[in-house]
Amino acid sequence: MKPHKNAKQYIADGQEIAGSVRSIWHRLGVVFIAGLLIAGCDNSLQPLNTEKGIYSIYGFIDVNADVNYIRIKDMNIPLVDDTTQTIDAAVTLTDLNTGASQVLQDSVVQFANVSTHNFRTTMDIQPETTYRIRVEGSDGRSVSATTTTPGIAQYNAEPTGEQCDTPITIRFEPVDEETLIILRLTFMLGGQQFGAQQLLQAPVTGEYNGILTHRFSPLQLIRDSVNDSDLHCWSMDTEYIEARYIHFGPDYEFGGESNVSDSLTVPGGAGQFVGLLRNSFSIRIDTTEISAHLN
Amino acid sequence: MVGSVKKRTFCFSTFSKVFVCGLICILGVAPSVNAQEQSTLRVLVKSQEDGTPIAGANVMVLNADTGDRIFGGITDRDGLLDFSNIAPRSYRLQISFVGFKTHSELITLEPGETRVVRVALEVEVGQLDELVVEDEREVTTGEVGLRRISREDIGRVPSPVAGGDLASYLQSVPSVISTGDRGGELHIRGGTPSQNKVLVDNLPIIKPFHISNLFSAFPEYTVQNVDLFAGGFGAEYMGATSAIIDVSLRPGNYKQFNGGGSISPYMASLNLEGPLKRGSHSILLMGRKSLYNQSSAYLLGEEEPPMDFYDLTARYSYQGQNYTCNATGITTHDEGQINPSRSIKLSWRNIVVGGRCVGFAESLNHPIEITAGYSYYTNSETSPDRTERSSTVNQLFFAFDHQESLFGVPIDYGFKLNFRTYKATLAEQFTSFESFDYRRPVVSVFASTVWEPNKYLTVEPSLGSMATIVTAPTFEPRLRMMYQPDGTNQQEISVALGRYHQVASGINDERDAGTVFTVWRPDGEDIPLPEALHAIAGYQQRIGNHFKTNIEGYYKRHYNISVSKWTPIAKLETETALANGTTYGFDIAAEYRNRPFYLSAGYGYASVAYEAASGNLGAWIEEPIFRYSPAHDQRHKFNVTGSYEIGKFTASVRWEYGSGKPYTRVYGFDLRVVVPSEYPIHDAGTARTLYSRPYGQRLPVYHRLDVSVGRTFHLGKHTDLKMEAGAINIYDRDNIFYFDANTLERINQTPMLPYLSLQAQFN
Repeated sequence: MKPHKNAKQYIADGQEIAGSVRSIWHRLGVVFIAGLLIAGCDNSLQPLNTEKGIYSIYGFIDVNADVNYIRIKDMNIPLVDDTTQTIDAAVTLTDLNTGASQVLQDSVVQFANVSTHNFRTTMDIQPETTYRIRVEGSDGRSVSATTTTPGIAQYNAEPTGEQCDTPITIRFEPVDEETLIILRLTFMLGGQQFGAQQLLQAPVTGEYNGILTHRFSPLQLIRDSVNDSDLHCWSMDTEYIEARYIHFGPDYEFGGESNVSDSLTVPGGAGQFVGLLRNSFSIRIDTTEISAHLN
Repeated sequence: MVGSVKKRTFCFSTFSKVFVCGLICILGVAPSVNAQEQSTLRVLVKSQEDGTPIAGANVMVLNADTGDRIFGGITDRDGLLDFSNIAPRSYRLQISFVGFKTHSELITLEPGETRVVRVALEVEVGQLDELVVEDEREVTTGEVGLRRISREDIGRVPSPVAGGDLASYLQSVPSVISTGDRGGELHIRGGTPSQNKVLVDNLPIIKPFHISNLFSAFPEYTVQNVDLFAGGFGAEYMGATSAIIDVSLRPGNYKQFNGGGSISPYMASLNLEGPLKRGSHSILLMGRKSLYNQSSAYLLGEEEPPMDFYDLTARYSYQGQNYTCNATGITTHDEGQINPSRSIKLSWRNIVVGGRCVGFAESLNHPIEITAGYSYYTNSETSPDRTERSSTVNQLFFAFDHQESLFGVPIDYGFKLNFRTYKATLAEQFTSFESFDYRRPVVSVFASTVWEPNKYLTVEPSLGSMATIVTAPTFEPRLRMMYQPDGTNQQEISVALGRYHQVASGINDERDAGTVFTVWRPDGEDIPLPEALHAIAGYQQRIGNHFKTNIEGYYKRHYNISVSKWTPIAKLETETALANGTTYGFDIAAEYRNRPFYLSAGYGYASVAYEAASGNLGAWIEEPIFRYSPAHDQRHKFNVTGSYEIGKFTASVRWEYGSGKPYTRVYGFDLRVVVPSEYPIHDAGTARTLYSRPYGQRLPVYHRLDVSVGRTFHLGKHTDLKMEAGAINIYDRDNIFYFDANTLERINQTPMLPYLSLQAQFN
């Protein structure tokens, strides 16, 4: 067991040690504080990530449209400050199959206090073709996105002009199995438009013959859409059911319209750039009022 | 891979059952066992001047013949120290404390005797030199993870009001991180505010810190001492997974009345204390009210976001021959804004009332402590659209603490009953929760002992368990060990280990520094209980009588932390996900005390990392496990506090440096058009602010110098006037608080705050 020191011995020992330790502490302290002060001089802050998040691209190119608009936004400008009539962006649309390209022109549309820049293209959009949109600033930073348009699918609805409870089958063919169609059936009733939407796509399992079909009963469509089981086809304002459809290209992901995914589809930016084909046709229904047996 | 993040859920294992049964057995058997032949010495130390107990007094029991130290300790908040199972014979009892004359007396203990020695220490005229006192302080303190904060320590840190404040002091501690200068949020060694527990005289109080981080409900005037456990605490503290702030208020003067008031540009206060019955009953009252809203425009020259707060403290104390009791009431209220550009009005309120009694009569083998009370906390957030969200916690509690000897081993044991209600009224912002109203009784038990196999080593194992009606009992073993190589506390190596749980969590939107609104809700039903493992090792060295230094390394592993779910979109919705966290680091502190000079310096390094399944945390993250540093991960913190007495003046200075804390950069701003249902030239789209990778960048460093000079004028026999002038952030550094993600506006912390305070005391 070690002998115990008394208080005075501790004081003497301590004062000796303290002298040498004090000197070391002094030097270390000076170096340390100098380092901290140098590090502390930089008080700047760059809260905006300027290397990424350059431009956002929102829009679609429609095979059937003569003019298409793509919204471009400089992501480095806060919305509250975005009242400029010009945007530092050169926007080019290129047909990657042929190499043909077009420089798009800006159309400024004002919403409240915010100016939006919607670039207009008159390029003849072809089916089954890949397009790239490229946005480049004067500083050389650029963002691009690509999309492929769908092929042309023929549509057919049969039978037409039949009674309200006769099922109708709508067929699209040929439809590439990588693409999908959103079909919306609408009708007018009491001056208002009602309808239902249907997603058509190739089955996940089993053989696919290149044909997408949708079979529906006009009567059921009307009653379900309005949520009124007393309605009949003669309740409609017209004798037509309108079929509007959008045929998306193979890179379109249904359900991907979320906040999260569209932030990831444009590398270095954000947005959605979609190739599609929009079309519509009418299906005539026999709206002659008959006896109430349909109830 | 998403599921590969380790989620710790409690399983009521056989081991746990054995533990709980064992604990119950100990509690049941312990009272029946008593050492008949050994003696008990109980020391009660108080001040002769005002009759109040002295906490932290050094008590040494010496060999009556040789004067060698046999054992010793320091008094608790009641001025009480209990030595049980000691050999019946003669001893020399020596008691000392800073500023008081050392008391020494010879005592002789008979076999089986329990002796209560009541000592009133006499004030040293002209104040005793600390050199002598420090030399005598050769008792085990077991300070690993613990910082003992005295009233004097609090008073040394410059504060823009008369007298110091615990909140200002805590921010000078390397382990304690605040996210800014507003909000009253303190992080301790990686732990979030809701992982820390604040006790005032054993009564739980959820958020006693004011909206200005310079102030709390604990001014220097009312505080007796504070134990800050940054981790590794024993099982007598249950219900927190990170840290404990254990505040002891002082009783009012038992001998004479005195009162006074103070005023500064930022706060006014009134206080009164005195005996209701001289020597045995006293009261202490204090109230403070902020004046910040009235003065900031004049002094700061710019419009500051409003903040208003007050606190009231009332304490009745009784000191008898055989027991001491106190009744405490505290209420606080805070209201204001953090972000000047966002009109989110925040408010919170605490009400705590309760009583605590300690019995130490000779007829008791060991002291008994009983606490009972009620605690209420509510906080709310009101948006510009007048949507109000609120969260309220009510607690009715009872605690019993006792000591017994079991087979010659001293056992400290106790239990706590806590009936809690959690109520929240939430708008759509908190998409994870709907409004709720839960009732949860919580029962916790603990047992601990102290084993000293020799004069060098002290081992303090403890066990605790906690259960609610929806959660099985937890199993929380803990261990603290102290080794003194030379048998004195000139050197001390200490270690602390433990497992910790809590049964409630506070959820706030950590992504948004503009609000501190917190939803408190019970855990364990849908969400597994938060859990933590702590390991701390420390070394303390005294050099001479004036210089003390210590280094402490720590590691904490947290499980099941509820964090805000990250999405790329800056939106007000708050969804939560579970994360695990790892904190490690070290603190180095040095302190030099030699009146009239005082200097302390501390450096802390810390690393805080959270990890969660990225599926839980939104986009931008490609890896299955997302690791990030949360907003309170401040790697380096350096602090210097000094004071010097020049004649009748006292000058104090504090400089703090902190490295930049993580923040999330903005990826960009866009106007989202839903393709193809919206059309660019017809539809405005939805304005969005997109975040970059969460916490991917660090803010600039922070540093600030606070200074003060004060002097007390004696304006007669019964009146003292203390004047203090100073400034917070004297070189007017633009320290960033955060930036507004929508406008990129930089929000700085408080600019230079000059002040002149006056404090008058009458007796």
